[in-house]
Formats: sequence, structure tokens, C-alpha cells
Amino acid sequence: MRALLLVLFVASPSLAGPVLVDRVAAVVDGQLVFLSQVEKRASVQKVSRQVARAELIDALLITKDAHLTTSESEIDRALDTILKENNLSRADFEALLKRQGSNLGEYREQIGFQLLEMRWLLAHANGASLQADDVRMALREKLLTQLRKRAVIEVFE
Amino acid sequence: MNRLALLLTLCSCATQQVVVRSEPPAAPPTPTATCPTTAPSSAAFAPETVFGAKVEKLCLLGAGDETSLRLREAVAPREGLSLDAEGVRSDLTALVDTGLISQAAVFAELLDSKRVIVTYVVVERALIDTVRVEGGTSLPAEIRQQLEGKNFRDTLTQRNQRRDALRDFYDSKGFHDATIDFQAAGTELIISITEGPRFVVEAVRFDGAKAVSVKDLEQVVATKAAGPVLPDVLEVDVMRLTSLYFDRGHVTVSVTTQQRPHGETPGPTDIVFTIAEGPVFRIGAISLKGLPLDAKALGSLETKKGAVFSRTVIQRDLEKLRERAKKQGKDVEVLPMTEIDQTKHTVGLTFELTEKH
Repeated sequence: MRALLLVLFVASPSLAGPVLVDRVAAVVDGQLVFLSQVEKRASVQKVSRQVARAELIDALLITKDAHLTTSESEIDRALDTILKENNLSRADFEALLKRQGSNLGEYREQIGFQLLEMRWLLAHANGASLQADDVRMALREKLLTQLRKRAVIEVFE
Repeated sequence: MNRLALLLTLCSCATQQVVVRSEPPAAPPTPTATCPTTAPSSAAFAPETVFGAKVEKLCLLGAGDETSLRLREAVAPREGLSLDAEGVRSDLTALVDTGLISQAAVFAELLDSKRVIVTYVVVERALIDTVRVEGGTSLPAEIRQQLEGKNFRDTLTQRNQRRDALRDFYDSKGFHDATIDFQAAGTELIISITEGPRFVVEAVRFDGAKAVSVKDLEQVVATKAAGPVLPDVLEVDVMRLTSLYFDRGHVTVSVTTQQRPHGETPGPTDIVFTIAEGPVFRIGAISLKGLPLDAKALGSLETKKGAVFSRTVIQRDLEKLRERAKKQGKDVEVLPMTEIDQTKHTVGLTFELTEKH
């Protein structure tokens, strides 16, 4: 019997069974959040999948509302500042990112989004200073609450 | 069992003998790519194990025949290509963009080290027969009618249309915290509404107003006590108040607005316009520049040196100059240039005339 089972197993077309490659984790006004993005963010940011998904949804809402883009040169300048302030070479920094499961491309995307988010906040601040973290976060949450109410968000477990 | 094992051994020997005699050694038999009939009940998220393999076959589960045909069109180009993350995301987007499905997952199974069978498992959006509204006691019949519908697919577009109609209604009535949720249950679309408090204007105040009477200020603002709090209207009110002050010489006026809860119960709201009036400015020197007009043009203007600055009067003068130029055969644009003297509280005014193109 053991021999027969072995023969049947080898003859099976499958090598290791099906794997999940990706799936839709949320749809925000027609824009998709993928499980792969959620997994990546949860892993790099060390947060739960639920938190990672919520953050990605918020990012889509902000990007859509901002009607802004960030140029590559702006990201370059921001990256240079970060490297300088942390006294890191680009190679060291890339190695650091790799150890955290990320890479320079992904990090640049994050910087781009942070720059965009700051401009979005400033555009809604009516001239108020956003230096203080609590002021900035309060405005962010207030704006996001409005955006969430307006959007059609479907979340899939 | 011993007999079965023996038979298998014999069969194997016979096959080997035939192969050896007739042909050079054959490649191992190619596993056939057959679509699964059910979605994998549990599969680990392990995309890296299949990326790079050639997509031998595409399968689609979870949709009816007609929907399947349309969905297949969206993902068919993937067959024969190497499987990668971007391609998979692109396919998922294409599937959802059809509007026919709500959920989609991609599974892959290696046939051998280089080939993979890819299965898209989808959840079709329901065909809706009835729309049921839960909550929403303030909804009038005409809005309820807009929500109704029969035999439509529960797409994002359909939900958006209904959400927008509801949101517009609730915003216009001051229900700014109203939540609207959708859920498809079989052929029924359930719209659950929690209206929350209605934000009503309890009082309108004008802090800092001294030069202009409250009566005059109340006349220009559309926000009234007992009416709904409407942020869009408040923005317009700020512009109207600013214009009023501009017409009374307060060219450095600043008007901001705040909504303050009236008491502890959410809903009743005080609207406070905070006004920093600044000094009254008068007209300084007036001149014309650019295309020449007749000598009496400047004197014909309503705006006079020493008069209190008024934006409305200046706007009337712009029109007068355009008309005057037209009578002289010139089609002109008139641009008012101002120079503010903060010490003397005067505004120098130059009307620049340029030919219209």
C-alpha cells in the first residue's frame, strides 16, 4: 500500500498543491488594495493585517483627494536629507532596508506619499501651523473621517 | 494487496522494456493541466514559490457562464506569459473593473518547476431585485424612489449613485454625521442608514464687528438661526461678509468662521464669524495706463480721490471704461491695479487698458 500511495503521489500533476498568489483585500471607490500590499506593509511596519489594510485604504483616500503628485527630484532631495541626518551611505541604507524586508523603490514610494500627504494637509489647514504632531494628526483624522463617509469602501476578510 | 503490488511492478517492467526497445529514453510524462472544480479551501499565501513559472492554463471559478466569458476576456492575455506580481495585480484590477464581481483571488499550482496553472476565484456581484432601506426616517418619498431599482447588478457605480443621492440629501438637511452602508443579501440590496444628530444653527454671532451693524451683517449671510448648518454656505457667507467690508473701505479685513456646539447635546450649533475689520482706506491717486482714452475718461469715473474705497464702485467703473472704449472703437480689457499705503490708509488706483485678443 505504501508503494502504491507513493506512485500515485508522484504521478499527480501538482508538485506542492495550490498557493494563494494574491487577492483583493479592499476596494476603495473602485481602486484596489491587494493582499500582497497588506502583507508587505504588515511585515515591514510590524503592524497587524487589519491596521495595514486600514492604512492602505486611508492612503488611497488621501491620494485621490489630494489631486497632487510628487516629483522624483523632490523624493531625491528628501532621501538625501534622511541619509545625511542619519549619517548613512546609500549602500548602507539599502542594506538596512533589505534587512527589514523592503527596498529603495518601496521606500521612495513611502517618501513620495508622505510629501503628498503633508501638502494635502497644508492645503486644508487654512494657514494654521502644522508643526505640532497632535494638531497635524487631528486635522488628518478629521479630513479622513469626511473622506471615509463619502467613499464606497468594500473590505474583504 | 500483494497481488496488486505485483501487478504494478509487472506493468512497470513491461513499459520499460517497450521503451528501451523501440525509442531513445523519453522525457517524464507531462502532467496535464486541468482546471480545478472547486476553490482551494486552504492555501498558503506564497506567491514567491510560483512567480517566474509560465502560465500553462488559466481557470476561472465562481462565475456563471455569461459572466465567465467576459471575465476570461479580461485575463486571457496572461496565458503563456511568466507569472509575476504586477501581472497578477493587473489581472485582479481588470476583473474588478468589469463591474461584474466584488471579490477575486488568484491561486496557482505548479505543474512542474517551470509551468503553473492559475485559477481565478471570483464572487459575482448579485443581481438585485429589490432595494430595502433600513433607518432613514427623515428621507422623503422622492429620495426613496431614487434608491429603488429592479434587475440591476450590485456594482460600485450603482452603490455610488445611491450613496450620492443620500449624502446630498443628508448634507443639505444638516445630518453631517449620517452613515450609509450597503449590503447585498441574495437578490436584495439593503441600505442601512444611521442619521445621527441634525446640526441646526442655534445662533449666529459676529465677533469683532464694530464698524458695520449686526443688522447689515445678518442681511448678507445666508446662514440663519433654526436652519441647517451648511459648510458650503458658510464659505460663501465668509466671502459675502468680506465683500461687504471691502465696499466700506476695510480692504485689510479678515473673516473666519467657526462652528461651536451649543450645549452638550450634539446638533445645536452656534455659528461664529470672527471679523478683524482693520482701518478704513480711502482712494489715493487715480490714473489710466495702456491704451489711451479721451481726456474726460478719468473724470467720468464714479471712484473719486479721497472717497472711501469700494470694490463694487470700482467694478462699475471697469464696466464704464470698457463701454467708453467701445464707443471709441476699441475693444479693451481693463485691469485695476492697486497700491496700498498702510500708513496713510489709502489705495492708489491705476486702470490698465489693454487691447482684447
